[in-house]
Amino acid sequence: MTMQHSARAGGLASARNATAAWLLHHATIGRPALLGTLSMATIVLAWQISATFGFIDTLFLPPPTEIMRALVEVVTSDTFPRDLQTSAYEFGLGLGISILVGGTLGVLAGWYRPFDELLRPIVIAVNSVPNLALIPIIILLFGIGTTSKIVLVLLSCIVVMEMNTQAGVENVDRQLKRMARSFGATDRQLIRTVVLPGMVPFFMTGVRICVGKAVVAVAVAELFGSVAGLGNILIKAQSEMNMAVMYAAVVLLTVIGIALTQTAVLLERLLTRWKD
Amino acid sequence: MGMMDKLPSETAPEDGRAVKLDVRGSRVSFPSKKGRFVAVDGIDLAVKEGEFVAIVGPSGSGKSTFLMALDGLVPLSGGTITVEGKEVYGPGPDRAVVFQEACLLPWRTVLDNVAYGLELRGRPKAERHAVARDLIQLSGLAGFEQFYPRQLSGGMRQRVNIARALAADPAVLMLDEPFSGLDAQTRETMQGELLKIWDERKKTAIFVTHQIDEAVYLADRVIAFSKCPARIVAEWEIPFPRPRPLSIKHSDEHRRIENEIWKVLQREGAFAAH
Ligand SMILES: Nc1ncnc2c1ncn2[C@@H]1O[C@H](COP(=O)(O)OP(=O)(O)OP(=O)(O)O)[C@@H](O)[C@H]1O
Ligand SMILES: [Mg+2]
Repeated sequence: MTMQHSARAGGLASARNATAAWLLHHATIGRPALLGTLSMATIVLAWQISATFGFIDTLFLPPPTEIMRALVEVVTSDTFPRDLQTSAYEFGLGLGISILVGGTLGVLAGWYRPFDELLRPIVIAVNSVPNLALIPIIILLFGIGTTSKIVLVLLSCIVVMEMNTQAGVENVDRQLKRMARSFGATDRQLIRTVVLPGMVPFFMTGVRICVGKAVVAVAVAELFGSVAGLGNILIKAQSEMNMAVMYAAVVLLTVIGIALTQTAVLLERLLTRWKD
Repeated sequence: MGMMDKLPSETAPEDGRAVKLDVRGSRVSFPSKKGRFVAVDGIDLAVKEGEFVAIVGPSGSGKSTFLMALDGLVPLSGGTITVEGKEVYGPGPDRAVVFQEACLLPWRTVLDNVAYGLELRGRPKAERHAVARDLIQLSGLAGFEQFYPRQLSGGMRQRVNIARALAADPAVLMLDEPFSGLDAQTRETMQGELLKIWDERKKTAIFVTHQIDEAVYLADRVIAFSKCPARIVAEWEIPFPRPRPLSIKHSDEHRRIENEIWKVLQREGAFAAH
C-alpha cells in the first residue's frame, strides 16, 4: 500500500522538484554540523581569551577579533575585486582545461588499449613529479602573470582527471556492456549510453580531488611571484609585516577552498544519486 | 545457399506454423591450451512461430553458450542460424536475450530502461515511451515508471529486464535462467506472470533453466542437453493446454513428465557431486 503510494508520488513529481528536494535534504544542517561548529567555537574562544590575558604574543598571533577586522579590511579594499578575479580566473580556466583534456584522454585511454600504452609513461612521470617544486621553473618559463598559475594547475590536475576517468571507463560493468551489445548497440551507442554515464562516479571523484589541488596550486604559485591574487595579498602583507592581514588571507583561502570542495562534493552526490 | 533458403519450409510443421528460428549443425568452440575446447557440438533446433521451448541440462553443459551464439554475442565455429528465413551473424533486433542478472542501467528510470532497445534503433521518444508504458503495465509495474533500479526488488528488476526485451519486439526471445536469482515464492509468481504476458504476446521463446518443474510448466517443448560439449539428448512435447494455472504443477501428469526428464538428466550426470 505504502509502496503503491510512493510510486504514484514518484511518478508525478517532476525531475526538477525531485532535485530541489534532494538538495534541500542534503544541505540541511544536522547534528554533525552543529557539533563541528561547537568544537571550532571552543578553540576560537580559547584563543581570544589567551590573547586578552596576554598568554600569547599578539604580535605574531593576533586575537581572532583582530584577524576578523583585518579580513573585513581586506575584503572591502579597492584591490580585492581584482585579486579575487585573478585567482578565480586562474582556478577556473586551469580546472576547466584539466577536466576537459584529462577527461578526454581518460576516455580514449580507457577505450583504446594502444592509446593507454602510449600515454602511460607520461602519466606516471607527471604524476610522480612533486608539482609544487616546479613552481620556480614554471615562473622562469612563463613569468609571474596568470599563465604560470594556470600551467601549474594543469600539471597538478590533468593527470588526476585522466587516471580517474580511465579507471571509470575500465570499471564500467561488463555485463551492462554485453547487454547493450545484445540489443545491437554500435560502439558509439555503447559509449554514449553505457560507458559515459557509467564512468561518472569515478570522473566526479577526480573533479572533487582536482578542485582541492587547483586551489592549492593557484595559492602557492601566487606566493612565489604574482601581481595580483589571493596569494598575492598574503605575500604583500608579509613584506609589510602585517600579521593580521596574513592570517586573514589564510582564513580567506581556507574558507574558499572548503566552499569549492563542498560544492564539488554536492555535485558529485547529485550526479551519482542513482547509485545505492 | 539456395538450399538454405528452402530449409524453413522443408521443416514447416503440419500445423502450418512457420519456423521462426532454425539452427543447423551449430558448433561453438573456444581457444584453449590444447587446441580448441568445444562447448556446443552440432545442435539442430527448429522453433516454430509462437512456440515456447525450454532447455535443461547439466551445469556447464553449454546452454548459456548456445544462447549467446544464437544472439550473436559468440561466433559459431560451424553451422548456421536462420531467423525468419534470413541467415544471421551478429546481434540484431530480431533477437533479444534476458540474462540471469537484470543488467538494468542504474542511472535510468524503469521507463527509460524498458525503452532502451527501441532507443538504440532510433525510435522517437513518444513512440518508445508508449511501447514501454504498455509493457510496464503488462508486467505489473504500473506506477514505477520513474523509479530507479536501486529502488526495486529483485523480482521487479527481473520484470523490467523481461519487459525491456519484449519492448524491443524481437522475433525470438531468449531467456537464460532469468529467475534463478529469486526466492522460490517470487519465482513461482514470476513464472505465472511470464506465462500471462506470453499468452498475450505469443512470442517465440527459448528458455534455459535448471528447474525441471519450471521448464515443464512454461514450455510447449522441453529439450535436454548432454553434458559438455552440448548435444540434444532428449525432447518432450508438453501437452498441457493454455492458459495454464500454477496448480497444474501439482498434477500427476506434470510430475510424471518432470520425473522422466529428471532421469535423463541424471544419466547425464546433472546431479553428480562436483
Ligand atoms: N568465453 C569462454 N571461453 C572459454 N570457455 C568458455 C567460455 N564460455 C563458456 N566456456 C565453457 O563452455 C562450457 C559451457 O559453459 P556454459 O556457460 O554455456 O554452461 P551452462 O550450460 O550455461 O552452465 P550453467 O547451467 O551452469 O549456467 C563450460 O565448460 C565453460 O567453461
Ligand atoms: Mg549458464
